[in-house]
Amino acid sequence: MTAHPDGAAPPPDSDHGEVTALLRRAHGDRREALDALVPIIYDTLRRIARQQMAGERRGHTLTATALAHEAYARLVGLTRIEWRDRAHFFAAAAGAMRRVLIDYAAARNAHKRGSGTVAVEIDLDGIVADDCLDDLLIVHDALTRLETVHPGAARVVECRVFAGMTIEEAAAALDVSPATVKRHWELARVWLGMHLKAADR
Amino acid sequence: MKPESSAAATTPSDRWERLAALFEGALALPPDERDSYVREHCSDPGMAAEIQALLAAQVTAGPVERVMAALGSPTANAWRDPAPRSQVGPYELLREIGHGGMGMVYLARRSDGVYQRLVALKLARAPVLDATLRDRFLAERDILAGLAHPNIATLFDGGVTDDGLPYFTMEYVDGQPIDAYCDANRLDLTARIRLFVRTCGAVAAAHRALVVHRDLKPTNVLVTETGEVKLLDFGIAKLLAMESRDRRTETATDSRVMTPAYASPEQVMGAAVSTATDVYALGLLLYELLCGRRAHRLESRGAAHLEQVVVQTDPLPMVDALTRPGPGGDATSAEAIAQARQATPAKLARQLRGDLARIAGMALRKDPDRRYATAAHLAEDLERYLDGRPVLARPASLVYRASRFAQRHRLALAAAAIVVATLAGYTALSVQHAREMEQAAARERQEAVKAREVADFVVGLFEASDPNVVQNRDMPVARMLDQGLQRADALSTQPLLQARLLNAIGRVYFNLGKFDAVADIATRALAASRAGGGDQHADVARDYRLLGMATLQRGKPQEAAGLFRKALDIHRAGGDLTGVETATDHNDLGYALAQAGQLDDADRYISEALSARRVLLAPGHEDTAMSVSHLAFVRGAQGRPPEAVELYREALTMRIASLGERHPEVARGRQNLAAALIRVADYDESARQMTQALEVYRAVYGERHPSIATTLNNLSVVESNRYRLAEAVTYATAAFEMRRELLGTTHPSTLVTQANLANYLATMGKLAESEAMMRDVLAQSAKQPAMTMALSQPQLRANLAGTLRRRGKLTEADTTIREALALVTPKVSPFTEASILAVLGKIRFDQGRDAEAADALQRALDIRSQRLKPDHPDVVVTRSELAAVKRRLERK
Repeated sequence: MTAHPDGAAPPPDSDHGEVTALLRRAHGDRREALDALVPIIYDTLRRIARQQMAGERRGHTLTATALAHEAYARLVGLTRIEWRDRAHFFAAAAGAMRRVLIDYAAARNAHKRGSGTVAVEIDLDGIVADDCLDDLLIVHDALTRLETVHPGAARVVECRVFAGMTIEEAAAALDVSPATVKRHWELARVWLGMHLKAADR
Repeated sequence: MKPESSAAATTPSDRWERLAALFEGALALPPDERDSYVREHCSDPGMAAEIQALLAAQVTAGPVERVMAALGSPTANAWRDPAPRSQVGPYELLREIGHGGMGMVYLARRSDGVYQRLVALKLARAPVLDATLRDRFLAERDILAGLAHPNIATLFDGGVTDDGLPYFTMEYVDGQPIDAYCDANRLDLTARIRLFVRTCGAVAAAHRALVVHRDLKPTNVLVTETGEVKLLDFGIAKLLAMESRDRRTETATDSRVMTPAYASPEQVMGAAVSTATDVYALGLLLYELLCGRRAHRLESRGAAHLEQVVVQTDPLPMVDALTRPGPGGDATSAEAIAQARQATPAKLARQLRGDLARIAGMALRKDPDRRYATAAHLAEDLERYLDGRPVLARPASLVYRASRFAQRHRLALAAAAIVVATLAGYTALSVQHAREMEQAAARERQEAVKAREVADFVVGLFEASDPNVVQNRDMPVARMLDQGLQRADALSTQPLLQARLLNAIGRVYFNLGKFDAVADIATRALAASRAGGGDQHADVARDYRLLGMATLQRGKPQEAAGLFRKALDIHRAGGDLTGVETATDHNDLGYALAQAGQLDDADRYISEALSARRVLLAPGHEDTAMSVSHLAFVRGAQGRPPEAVELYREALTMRIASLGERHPEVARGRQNLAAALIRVADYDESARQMTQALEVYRAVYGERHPSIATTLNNLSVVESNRYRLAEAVTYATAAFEMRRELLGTTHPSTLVTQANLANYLATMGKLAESEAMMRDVLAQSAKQPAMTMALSQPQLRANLAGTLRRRGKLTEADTTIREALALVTPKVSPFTEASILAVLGKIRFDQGRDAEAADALQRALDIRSQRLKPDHPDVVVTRSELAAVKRRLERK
C-alpha cells in the first residue's frame, strides 16, 4: 500500500518514492522506519555535501542545519507528507548526520596523522573546521556511552547537536513534550561535558 | 551501529530520569539554595555528589558547545528568535510590534534619511543560504512590490541581511483586525458585508497579478481608524517559505506557512495552492464575521484531527454555530454575538439562513474547483445579496459533499500534473491528457450557455498554476511565463488549446506592461486560433482584441482600430448572444479611433457601446464607467468641454461608488475631470480635484510616478490660468523633471510639460529662454508621431511664433505662423486653431496690417466664445485685443 499519489510523475531519482513509503510506514512503527531511513539519508547527505562543495562556495559555510533541511527538501520535497513526518524525518536525519560527520572526522584524522589507510571519500571542509574534528569524535564517544545510560536523552542530543533543532523541534521529532526534551538536554550537555573530559584525560 | 541499541538497561535509565529531575529542580533555584535542595531531595549520597559535580560543571562551555557552534546548530533558541538587533539593512528598528511563526515584525525607519516614513519591517527567522534562492527571493519581492492597491499594504523594499535573513519593509498600518473592528463598532451584517466586499476586491486585484495570499486571516486584514481595509502580508507567506528549499521542492514546507484554523482542505492535504485557496480563506473570514464563530472547530493541533475537521467535515450552518460555542473556551453567548451586530439572536438567525448561508457555503466548498472561481465572483454575489438580486450560489449537490473531496483528491492531483506538464515543461507533456482536455473543451463548447466558462477554462488553469501549483513554486512569474511559452510551442497539434494558452500568457504580460511581448504573443495566438477554429471562431476575436490592445498601447491607434474592427465583425456575424461582446468591441474601436483623432467616428462607436452597456450591465459597472469616461474624452477633444465635464463627473461618481475614494482609478477620474474643468475655466474646482487625486496617488504610488507627474503638469496649467505664474513654473518644473527621469527626454508627455514651461517663461517675459526651449521641443517632437493633441505641431509653432513676435522678430514669427496655418486640418483641435489665429492676429497688428489682424482675431474669438464661458481668460483677452485693433482701425 504505497501512498504515492498516482498523478504526480515519480521523479527520476528513485530515492524519493522509497522515503515517502518509509515515512508513511513510520506512522505504524516509527522507530523501525526511522532506522531504515538512516542509510538513505546518509547517502543523500553525502551527495549534497559533495555537490555543495563542488560548486563555488567560497566563504560560504554550510551549516549542519541547512544540510539537514536540504536533504529533507530533496528526499521528500516532491511528495506530499504530513507535518509529523517532517519532524520524524529530522530525527532520523540527526542520526545520519552524526554518522556522516563521524566517518568524515575519523577519516580526516587518520589522514592528518599520516596513517593514509583510509581515503577521505567526501570533502566536508566547508562544514567542519579541522580544529573541531577531535571535539566531534570526543562528543561522539561520550554520546555512545550516554546511549547505554539513556537512549532517549542521546536522541535529544543528536537532534540538538547534529540537526540543529530547537527544543520544540526536537520535542516534535521525538514525540515527547518540550519539557522532557529540556530536562534531558540540560542534564545531558553537562553530563557529556564531564564524561568527555574524563575521556580526554 | 544503531544509536539506540537496547532498552534493557532499565536501572541506569531510571537513575538518569531521577538525576535529570533533580538537576532541573536545582537549576531552577538561585545558586546558593541548590545545595540544600539536593540534600533535602536526594537520599543517595552517590547521586547527590554527582549532582553537585554536574552543577559545578554546567557553568563552563565545553566540546558540546564547540561542536554545536562549528556545525551551526543553534545553542540556545537562535533559530527561532534572531538575535536582538537595532539595524536591518538600511533600516533602524524602533520597536517590536509583533511576532509570528515566520519571523519578527518591527516598526522601523530608514536610517539614511532617504524617506522619513515609518515602515513595518518583517525579519524572517530562518536564513536563506543559497545564492540562487536569494535571487529568486529578490525577484519575487519585485513582483510583490508592483502590487499597488489602496487596500493592500504596499511592499516597499526587501533584502537579505549579511547573515542571510530575508527581510521586507511594508506600509505600516495602524489598525485593528477586521473581526475586532466590526465588534468594537457594533457593525450590523450589511456594514460587515460591505467591508468584506472591499477585502475581496483587494484579493481579486492581487489574483489578477497572479499573487496568492495563502495566509488570509483576521489578523492579516486590518481596518484603520478611518474605516479603510488594509490587507497585510500579501504573498509574504510564499516569500518566507522560500527559505532553504531546493528548486524541485513543492508542498513540503508549506505546512509551516498555513495557520491551522484558517487552512484550506488543499493546504491540509498538501495539494496545490491556488487562488481558490484564498477564496476558501475568505469564506472562513466571512463565516466568522457573520456568525461570530470560527468555521473550523479545532480541538487540538494534531494532523489527523486537522484533516478530520478541515477536509472531512462540513462547517456547521452559521445559524447553528451561533448558538453553539466553539471548542477551546469560547464563552461568547448568542446574545452577545447578536448584540455586536445590532440584532437580536432571532433576527440574526433569520439573516444567517438562506442566501448568506449559500454564499458562505459556496466559498467553503472542500473541492477548490467548485468554489467561486475568484474573490471577485464572491464579492459580486454578496453585492447581489445587498442589492436584493438573486445570488448565484447554490447548495452543493450531494455528489460533491465534503467526504468526497478526499477521494477525489487523487484526481485533482492528476489534473494538477497536467497543468505542470503543460506550463512548466518539467516532464514531457502527456499528449493523451492534452487531447482529452481538448475533446472535453470541444464538447462543452457546443453548449452555447457555457461558452464563456469554457473560454476562461485555460485561463483558469493558468491562473491556478501560478508559481503555487507548478512543481517549482518558487519560480518567478517571468520565468514561469517563459516556460509556459515554451510549452505552448509544444502544443502545435492542438492549435486552439495553444491559442488559449498564448492568450492567457499574453494577458498576464499585458498586466505587466510588456506590450511588445504581448503583440508578439497575440500574433502567435491569432495564427493558432485561426488555424484551429477558422476565421470566424470566437477565440479568433479574442486574440484580435488582445493584439489590438497591445497595438494601441504601442502608439498605433489606426492599426489597433483595424484589429478591433475584425473582432467586431466576428461578433456581429454570430456568437455574441447577449450583445456584451459587441459593446466591448464598439468601446475599444471608438477609443482607438479617438486616439487616432477620428473624433466623430469615435463618438458614434463609444455612444453605441455606452447605451448598450447601460442596459446590459449592472448599474455602475466598471465597463460602463469606462465608456462614459471615453466619451468624455472624445467630447473634450471635439471642443465640447461642458459636456466633457458632465460625463467625467458621471464616470467619477460611478467609480467612487464601486471602488471607494482611495482607489487609483478614482484618482484618475478626478484627474480627468480636473483637466476638463480647466477648459471651462473652473480653476478652483479643478485645483481641488487635482489635489485630492494627488493625495491618493502619493498614498498608493509614493512620491514619483507618471500619474503624479501628470497631475503636477495639469496643476501648473491651472495656476498659469489663475495668473499665479511662479506656482505654475514650480509645478511644471517638478513635473518636467519627474517625467524626464521616468519617461525620458523625448517622451511626448515630457515634451508637453517642457512646452508648458516654455509658455510660462514667455508670459513672465523670459523670452530668450522661452524661445530656446520651444525650439528644442519643436525639434524633438518633429522626430516622432504626435501622440497627444497638446503636442501637435501647429500648436507648438503657434507658441513659438507668439514668443518670436514678442521678441520683435516679426519676419521669423510670420514664417512660423504661416507654417502653423498650413498644418491646420479638420483633425486639428479648434482650440489649437484659435491659438494660431490669435497669434496671427497679433503679428498682423504689429505689422500694421490691421484689417487682417481684426479678421484673424475675430475668428479666434468666435471659436473660443462658442466653446468657452464668456469670462474665460482666453475669451476676455482675445476680445480686448480685438477691441484694440478695431479702435486703431476706426482712428484711421
